[in-house]
Amino acid sequence: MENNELSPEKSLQLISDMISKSRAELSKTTGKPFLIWGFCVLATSLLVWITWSQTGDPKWNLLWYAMIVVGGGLSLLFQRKGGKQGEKRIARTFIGSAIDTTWILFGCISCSVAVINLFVAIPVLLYILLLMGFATALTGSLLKRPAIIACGVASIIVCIPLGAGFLSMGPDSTLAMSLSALISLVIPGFILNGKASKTPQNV
Amino acid sequence: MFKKLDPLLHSELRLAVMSVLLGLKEADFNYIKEQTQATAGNLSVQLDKLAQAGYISVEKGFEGKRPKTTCRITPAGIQAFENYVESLKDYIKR
Repeated sequence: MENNELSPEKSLQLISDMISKSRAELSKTTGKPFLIWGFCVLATSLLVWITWSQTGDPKWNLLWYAMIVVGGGLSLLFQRKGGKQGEKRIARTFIGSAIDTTWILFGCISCSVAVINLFVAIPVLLYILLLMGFATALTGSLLKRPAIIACGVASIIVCIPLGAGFLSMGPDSTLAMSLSALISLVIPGFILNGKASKTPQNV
Repeated sequence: MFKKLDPLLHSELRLAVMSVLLGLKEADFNYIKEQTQATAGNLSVQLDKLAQAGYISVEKGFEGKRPKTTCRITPAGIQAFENYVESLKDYIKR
């Protein structure tokens, strides 16, 4: 790109193209964390379901704490790998910061709820399902992606009744978390990555 | 009578830089270079022009041992960009 003079139409086109490119970059960087955490939650919930069902011991729920360490480690690893490949030059967007804050708050509140649950029995699964669906819908709203908003809302509508009693409150209730991970994290992750890869990189 | 287009923004590369920075909190030099497909030398000159006009702020520092240049759009830059788009609309309508 050079510093040529422009016609008004070409100027508007250029502005529109550059803004679309920035938005596509944001989708690309948002999709990966969704997939990492989505598969972590999905794998952990299935593992907890299997072990809890087989042994009858609810202590297998402690695996959720291990998932936080594994998910955090994988996120850091992929972030560094992306940086080394030059995939991501540093740019911080207002929307990106708002999305980061949403998910950091979700993580902090979920961990707090899980820790409180060690001392006082509370419906931890329901709180987390509700928060996860809400965080996904909010992310979709910030990115202006109706499909992601729909995933968040669908996750709440489908999974809350399952977690609240349609499934027995024993090991089977963990399956509500598997379904929620699929609807509110894995599917949106694929949608965001798909959108980003379809956008032309050179305008 | 047409409104006069801001000559500082009415250039392909400077307009692209401002468009990139508009939706960002901040961006480093390499990111802008990648997005605009400009050469480092040309981009550096254009960033200086925008910074001198007060449209962007440029912060030079280090990340580890590597030099790092971070750019941000200023309120004056946002205002100038809005005025520029308004003027463009005026041209296109007529």
